[in-house]
Amino acid sequence: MKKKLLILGLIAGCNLVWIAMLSSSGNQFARSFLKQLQKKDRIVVALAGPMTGGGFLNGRDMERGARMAIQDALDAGRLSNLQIRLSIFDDQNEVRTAMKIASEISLNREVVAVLGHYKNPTTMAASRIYKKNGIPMITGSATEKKATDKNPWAFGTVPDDVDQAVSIITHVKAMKRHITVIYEKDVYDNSLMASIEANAAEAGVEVRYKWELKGVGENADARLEQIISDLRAIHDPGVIIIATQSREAAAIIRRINHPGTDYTIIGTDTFATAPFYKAMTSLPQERAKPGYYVNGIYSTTPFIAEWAGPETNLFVDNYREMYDESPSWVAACYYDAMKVLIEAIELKHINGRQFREDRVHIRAALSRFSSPEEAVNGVAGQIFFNKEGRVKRQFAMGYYENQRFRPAFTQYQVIADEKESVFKKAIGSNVTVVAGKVFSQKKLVYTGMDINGVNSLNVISGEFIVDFFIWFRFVGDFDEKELIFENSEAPIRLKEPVLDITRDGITIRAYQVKAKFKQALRYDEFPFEKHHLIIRFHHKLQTDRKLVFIPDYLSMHAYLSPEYRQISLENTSGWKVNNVTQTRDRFMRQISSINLAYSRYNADISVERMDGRFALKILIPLFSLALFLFFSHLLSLDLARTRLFIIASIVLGAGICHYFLRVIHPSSTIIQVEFNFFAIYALGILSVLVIGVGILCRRMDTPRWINGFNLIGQGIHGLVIACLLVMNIIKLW
Amino acid sequence: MKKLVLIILVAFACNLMGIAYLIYHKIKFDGVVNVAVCLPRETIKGQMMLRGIKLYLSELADEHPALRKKIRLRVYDDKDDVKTAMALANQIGTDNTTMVVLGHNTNGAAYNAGKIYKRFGIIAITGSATGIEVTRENEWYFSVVPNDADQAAVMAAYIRSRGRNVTLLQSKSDENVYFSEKFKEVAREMGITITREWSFRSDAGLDRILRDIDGRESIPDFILLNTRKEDLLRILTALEHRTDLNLIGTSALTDSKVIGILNTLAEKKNLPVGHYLNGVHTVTPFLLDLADKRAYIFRQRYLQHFNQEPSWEAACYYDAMKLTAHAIERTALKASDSMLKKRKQLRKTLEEYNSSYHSVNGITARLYFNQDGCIERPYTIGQYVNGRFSPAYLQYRKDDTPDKHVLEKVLKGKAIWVNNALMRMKRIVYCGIKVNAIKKIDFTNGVFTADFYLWFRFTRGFDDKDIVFPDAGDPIALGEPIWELTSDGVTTRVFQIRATFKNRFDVFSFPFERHDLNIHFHHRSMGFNDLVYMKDSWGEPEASGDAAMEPGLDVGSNWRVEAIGSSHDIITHVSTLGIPDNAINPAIISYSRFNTHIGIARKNPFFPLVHVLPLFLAMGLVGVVDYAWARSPGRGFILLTLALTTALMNQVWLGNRVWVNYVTLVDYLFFGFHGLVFVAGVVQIQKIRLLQKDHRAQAMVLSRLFNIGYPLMVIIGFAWTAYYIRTLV
Repeated sequence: MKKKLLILGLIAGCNLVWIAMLSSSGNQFARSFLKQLQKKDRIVVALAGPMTGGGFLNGRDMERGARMAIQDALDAGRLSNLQIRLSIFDDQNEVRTAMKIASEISLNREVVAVLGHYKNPTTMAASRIYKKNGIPMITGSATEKKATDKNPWAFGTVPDDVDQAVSIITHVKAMKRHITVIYEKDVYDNSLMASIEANAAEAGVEVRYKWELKGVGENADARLEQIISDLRAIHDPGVIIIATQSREAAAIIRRINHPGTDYTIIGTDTFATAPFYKAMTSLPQERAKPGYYVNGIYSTTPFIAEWAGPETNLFVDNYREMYDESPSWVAACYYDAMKVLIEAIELKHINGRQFREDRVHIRAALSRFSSPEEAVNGVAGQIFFNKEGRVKRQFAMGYYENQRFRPAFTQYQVIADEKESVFKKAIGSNVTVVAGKVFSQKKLVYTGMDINGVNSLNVISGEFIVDFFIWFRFVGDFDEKELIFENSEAPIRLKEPVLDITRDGITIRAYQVKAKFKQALRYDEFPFEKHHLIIRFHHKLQTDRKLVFIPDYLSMHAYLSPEYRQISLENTSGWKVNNVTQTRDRFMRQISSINLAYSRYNADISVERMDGRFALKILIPLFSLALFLFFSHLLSLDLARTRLFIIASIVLGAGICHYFLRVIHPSSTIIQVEFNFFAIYALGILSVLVIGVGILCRRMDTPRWINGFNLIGQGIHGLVIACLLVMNIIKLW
Repeated sequence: MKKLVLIILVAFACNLMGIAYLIYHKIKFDGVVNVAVCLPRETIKGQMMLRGIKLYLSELADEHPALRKKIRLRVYDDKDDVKTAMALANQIGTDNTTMVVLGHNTNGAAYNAGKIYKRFGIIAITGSATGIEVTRENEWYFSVVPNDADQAAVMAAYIRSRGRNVTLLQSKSDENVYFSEKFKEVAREMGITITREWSFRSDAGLDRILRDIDGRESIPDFILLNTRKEDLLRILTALEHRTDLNLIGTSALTDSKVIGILNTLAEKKNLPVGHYLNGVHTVTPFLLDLADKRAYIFRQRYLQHFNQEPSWEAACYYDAMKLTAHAIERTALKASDSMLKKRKQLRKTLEEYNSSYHSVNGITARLYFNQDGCIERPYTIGQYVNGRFSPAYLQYRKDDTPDKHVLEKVLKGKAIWVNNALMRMKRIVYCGIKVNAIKKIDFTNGVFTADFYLWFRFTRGFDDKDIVFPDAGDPIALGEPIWELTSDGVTTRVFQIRATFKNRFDVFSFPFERHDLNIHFHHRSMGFNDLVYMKDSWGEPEASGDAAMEPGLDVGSNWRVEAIGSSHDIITHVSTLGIPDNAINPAIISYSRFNTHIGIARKNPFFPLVHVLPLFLAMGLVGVVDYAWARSPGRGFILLTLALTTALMNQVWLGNRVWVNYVTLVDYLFFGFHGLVFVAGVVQIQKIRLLQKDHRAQAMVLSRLFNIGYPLMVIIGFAWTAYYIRTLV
């Protein structure tokens, strides 16, 4: 019995040691197992939003964003002593329910902070209760200024309606000189309308018509019909701004925007949410012809996946992988809300034991994020709060194209206050002034590549020739002849376009390019390696303050039709194209101590060996040698000379092979396949040792030891061969 | 009791089987669509038509087996005879099981049988009868071959591009009269003067006319031959000496029977092949050489299946079958409906193929019908050169894409407007390459240097220098031509080029391999729709030197030139070009490409042997291991180790000579060798163990087994290698 216990104890001990070792080497399973063993403090965060009812898709996105932030923190090795639990509350986008929930949350001794609520009215009502009970609240969706203003317990990771109004007017100014507004007071209260009117007047844009959508049930429908009838009667309504809920917005769009009409419509952030998208795409015409109603509609948004900086690529990729769709701005802003909350929790070492103190500390920590220097890097931008508890950021402008919501071709960014007029003059005519701020125009050029073929790939020199089509979709002017292909062997000049068309103000220019590129390729993992062939370019003159390349996924058939993904790479090269991904990032350049950033476009062509058996070419002879060394153990000690001859021949043979391999692959580091050679050298030494020990034992006249040492030698030899075999099979797999 | 139960069970099972059989046949019967094929089965042309249909059905069986099973083919022989065709039509109509008829071949048979099909309500699709009257006023008859209206239009445009007047020579049959009327109508629109119309009913009448033509001093720009095939033979033999006459004939002149008789006649008189045809202009409904990539694939498949070049009839009937299969797939045919109702539904589907947006992608064109139930596309026009039909320098192609510059193009002569369709110009450029020398073949870097003459034959207005050699090491700019000649509006230019080209050397079968050195080029900006490069059938220009001269190689080169050949194909790229609407149907960008292949083989037959000699030696060493072991077990192992290291060094040496990223034939030989060495090692160890236990008999058996088994395995390995190398030759 004791023996059994001992054995069991040993096994358990060994397993623990293994797990500890694996954990220290970064193994996820082992780490999570060890974490399970540790006792953790539990912190509860409440998330309140519309989990059922018409706006449930927004509630779903809120939860997804918050959960992803927790998961990302865990993956990054943070929250080691904490367990954050998300407690979900459904306010159904109703004020009364929201107030009831707020009271319930406030009384809950476990909850240390609240994320939510979604809508402006619910957030404003609930925030008063949170303020009274001293519980910190962060909203990632309520844009009404009053939702956080004058409430030290309320914070917002989404900019407010004043910023939204500025963004709308900045874009309107470049389109037309007058606007028509349809709005719902319940949704955006007063600050959006007031800001639109104030900024429009200042920017010289006339608010020609203004219709409020009010009433409930049939009255609301009748009012809507009346508004639409009035709108149709107007000759030129200018830019139509719609600030309503998703359902009403969809009803208006369905009636006024379809092929044949030429309204310019800008919607508020509601237009960029899942409920609006779903309401539109469920319409029969929209299903028959994607974009039937929504094509060309603009909408402000605090976040668009394609427009967000390269830093957010990981978030967007993870989100797509997890939920099979791009993250909405709601998901991104609640990701940021949770992220900044985690920062606050860690900063104040919150443990969830004293809920009142914890709440106070969290509020104090959140208030500390008040300047760019102390900001937390969020996916929608830097998170730091102003005096009103808000992030200060600009809304981006997106538009719908074939049912996809994408960044508009022109974006604006603040470059200075108006008083800095010298700066404005220096910039020139490419600027506009709204709300006392100078905005510069940033041009977005949708870019894409279709790779026709990759030729003459030389993995040693890192040279390869790529034949590809490249296109640019843009509005206005764009000088694509000034592109710099960073790793092309000779400068590439785009000559005659194969396509040059302009439709609805959008120009598409496509070129065919065939050129040689060069880059350093790593082959440490030879012969199991894969390579990434990169084509990257940036504009020679225009920095990313003026020009940004956006991957044009909408026009890339390879992303839509897998059957077209095959790209020719001559089979005599022994390599095949596995995948092509296209991304953007920044190219940094320093000119006399000034750092300039350029938008850079990258195409990554992933290639792998066509013949999976290639490694066998090297591994089979090596295994043959290792097996022959093993055979030498099976010969008797009487044949010691023969055994030594075998060992010497095999080690020499392996050495010559090793030498020629290094000649072909002159790498400065150890390459993967070399471990097999090292193993053979070690086995050779082992074989010699076994013979030596055997002869010694014979002289000492201990024949039993000879067999013993021989068996140990055979065992070690067999184990090494088995390990090599497993290692190589795993790599081959 | 048991017996009773057994009987009941058997009876029940029989009933079940009967019901299942009936249901199966009901289902089977309901699903089947009978397609009758009416053609001259005993003629070569008829065979070609049938092969085209069968080729499509074999492809359908792979792509859509369920649909293929639905289609049942019934082949009838109408012997190209009107009465037989009518009798067959009556039979098919009365039978009431046939849904679609594919055929007939001739205008007469199609027209008369068509009247019967119309009466019975049977769908018919022809891929060879070009008469306008076949489909006009017969809503049940469709045609996938352009009719005589298109033929007349292209001929008129061609005559207009080379002259102003034409004389008509026609036999007074209904068929020919229809064509003449159409031609005269188009000619009038284009401003062509018809100087005279000769008509005849008998051979005597034709002879009289021919004597008259031969005796006249003033000759028209063209003489249009609109006669029966038999009359064509008389005309061409009678006017063989009048090389000054420009004869232009209808598509009957591309009939294999006519060509065969004329060539046989020339052969009998010891005249060169094509003697009677050379210089004669004619049209053909379809030419594979000028069609897109689908047609190239069709040609390859046809060659694979039937070991013969496909004719235009084969291509057209392939399309007819394809169109029928698509229509059947698209039509929801109910088993309970009457046959007539099903046919009406199917006809409705066919009628819905009425624009390029609602069409089937055939190999001859996009298949859709005009109001007369006929496809519209231009004929290919050309001239007989050295007995072969060579397309003219300028062809027409139908343009379905909306174009706001239509009028401008028509005015500039870049397009013509015929039968409410825009036909754009397509240029044919004949070219050839004569290789003078091949130098510096570098297998490691995959390059070689070639010195060659390149010539183009084209009509004016073509930039022959704007070409791209995609595999050239450095971009090649054609300088000044070394020779140039312009005659009858045709320019021939010869360039001399010496350049380095990249080449893909496949060394899988090293050291037994052969290689193709390839020189390709295509036009930089003109796509396949605007330009086709074709192999020059006029022969090499005199400036390119001695035609029989072999290209020179480096002194001391281990290679010899085995064969040189030229061909043309299409290079295709697929891209959206940034147009979002193209994301689902990407644009296909094609260029006509001209290729020259220089096949090279090793001079020294012992070269491969030298490279694998150490391996053979190692194999020999393994073979004698057992004999060496008889003297000492240690020697056996020493021999095995020697064999292993020898083979290893051989492999390292070969790998150092030819390092590629894939497993080669020699690698497989080495893999086999390592397996053999392993077996030999295990056998030796086992023998030692058996002897240690004093099991001499078992050790002997093992030894014998190895001595028999080893040579056997080596022989099998050699036989396989030899067989594989033979397949490379």
